[in-house]
Amino acid sequence: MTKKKHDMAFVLPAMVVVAIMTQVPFILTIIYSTLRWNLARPDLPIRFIGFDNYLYFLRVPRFPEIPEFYAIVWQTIFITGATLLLCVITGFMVSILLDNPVPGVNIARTLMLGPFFVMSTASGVIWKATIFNTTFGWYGVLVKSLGLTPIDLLSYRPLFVIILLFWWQWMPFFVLVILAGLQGIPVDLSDAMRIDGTNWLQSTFLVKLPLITNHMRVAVMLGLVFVVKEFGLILVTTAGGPGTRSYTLPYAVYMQVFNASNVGRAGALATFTVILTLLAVNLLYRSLRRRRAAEA
Amino acid sequence: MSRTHTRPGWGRSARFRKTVRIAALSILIYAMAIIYVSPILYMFISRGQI
Repeated sequence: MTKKKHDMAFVLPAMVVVAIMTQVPFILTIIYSTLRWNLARPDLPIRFIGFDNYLYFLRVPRFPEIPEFYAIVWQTIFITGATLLLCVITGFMVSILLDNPVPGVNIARTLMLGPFFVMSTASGVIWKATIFNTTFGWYGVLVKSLGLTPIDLLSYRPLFVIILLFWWQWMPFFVLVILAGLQGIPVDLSDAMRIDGTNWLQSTFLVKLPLITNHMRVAVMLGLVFVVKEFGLILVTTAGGPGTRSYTLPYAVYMQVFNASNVGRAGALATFTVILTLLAVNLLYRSLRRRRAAEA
Repeated sequence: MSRTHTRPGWGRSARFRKTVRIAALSILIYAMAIIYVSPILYMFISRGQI
């Protein structure tokens, strides 16, 4: 047995397990997306219908009326994009602060990481019950104390609420990655900056920021995968509402299966989600590779 | 050599400025961390009865 085959023999069991665990459900989803399969209609036989489930969402029957699928795709892109942008900007600022050698900074770092370890449904319930409640929530009390009438943010500004909660939950992850990048900056570089007389703005934005751009890109790439598939938080806060104003693709998949009982259309939506995510991750990965090649 | 480097009181002034800077940063960092995590702290304080 050659060395390569010998090495492969060790890796093969893990590869088989990973392939079965990840690829089989995905391939099954693609197969389901080509079927007419409605759980609420057992009288209709399950049969192959090609790309009809995809066309059902993509087709624009009467032009000025755009189907709600496009609105859901836009909402998914908007929520994910806004969350990632907020997370990168604030994550960088917070990381710069937490990189200072103040006494007990590790306690502050641990506190900041707290929301990341809370289950998304639990954090949704906490925010809905203790903060956004217009009668006894912090928001309601604060607005009333200013002499104003609090509006129900969950109903009137659902996207704002969801982006805020995603940001609150995922910003610590960005802090974790960016802080690791900041701590990897060599000490002699910091000393050189001090000797050269750089001020805070110069050292932060002209020296540190370019050095941790790759860390930021990795954080955005991973964050994209995590945020785009978030579902529980939407379910417990706005439940996709009002109407479909705060639907995202994963939530629409859930509603297609558990509300409309339509496995075929849910499969098509799930495949759309995967394609969109893969496209975005691929773009980010390419930019990361281009930058690494330029640096080399 | 400039004589200003040996002027008495400058070292103490720099130390004082550094102490003030670290104290201000500490207050800022801890305030930010506590505010950020306050929904979770509130949940613990209210013993989950939300």
